[in-house]
Amino acid sequence: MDKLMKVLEAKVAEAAQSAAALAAEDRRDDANLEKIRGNVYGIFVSVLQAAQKQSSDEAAQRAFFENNLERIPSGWRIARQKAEERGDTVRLVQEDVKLAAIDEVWQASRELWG
Amino acid sequence: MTEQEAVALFKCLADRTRLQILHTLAREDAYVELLSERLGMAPSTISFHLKKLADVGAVSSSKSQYYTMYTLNRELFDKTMLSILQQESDDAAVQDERERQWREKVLRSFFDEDGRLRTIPAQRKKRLIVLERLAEEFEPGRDYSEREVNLIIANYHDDFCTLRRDLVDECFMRREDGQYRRVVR
Repeated sequence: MDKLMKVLEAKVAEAAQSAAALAAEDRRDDANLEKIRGNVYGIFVSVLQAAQKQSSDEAAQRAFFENNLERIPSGWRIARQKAEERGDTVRLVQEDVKLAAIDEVWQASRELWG
Repeated sequence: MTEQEAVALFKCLADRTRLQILHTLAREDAYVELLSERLGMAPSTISFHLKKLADVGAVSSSKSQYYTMYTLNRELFDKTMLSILQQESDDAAVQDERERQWREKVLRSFFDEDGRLRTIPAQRKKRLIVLERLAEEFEPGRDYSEREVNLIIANYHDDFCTLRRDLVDECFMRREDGQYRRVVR
């Protein structure tokens, strides 16, 4: 759990750093996409903290975490689909960034938990 | 181009990634994958910025076999900054509308239901509005005797002497050889 927390916190910091660098280069929209990515990692830092508060049992914590990892992005997938249907490229890319970040969180959790 | 459109355009252009895309398109038309390769950015990022550029009319797209080609809107970029700045401001129209509404409010409060002037406004700005309204009772280009002027004004207020003098002092009417004539503004 602590390892995953460190990975996610590092990703939050990395996204914030990247957003700041892009903003400094007058790439505000790209910076905002990085902020969106960072926010997704931030959400799962909070989920992980909530999981640790709820139970001291690692299996229960993992179940809680993975359950939220499934549940939270379901709305994003719907939003992405709707954006695609109405040709809203801007929203589509934003949802893609969020979903790509979710994939990274899944990957990180699988690497640590198997 | 309206003021709102100009703001949207300048906001859109104030982004280095989009300027790089436009820089590439200024040389030749391109599709997303090509721009992505040339600028070293994800195709989704390029699409994101192209959408924003298309929304402000900076680029246009057309289907070409397998790809959607993007073209710089040269007509837009041929415009000078001065021509954009010389466009009538949307704000000016809003101001005009506010001014019109305020004038109507002043007239409603100083004229009663029968069209009589309740009181002569003390505030000059309001008095000017009332005087302008009274001046409309006089035909442009026609001379009126003082008696005629008094009678017309008396239909609105008993103090026709003050109002008649005010009409002349505020240049709504001109007095020459005892004759009064409306000044067309």
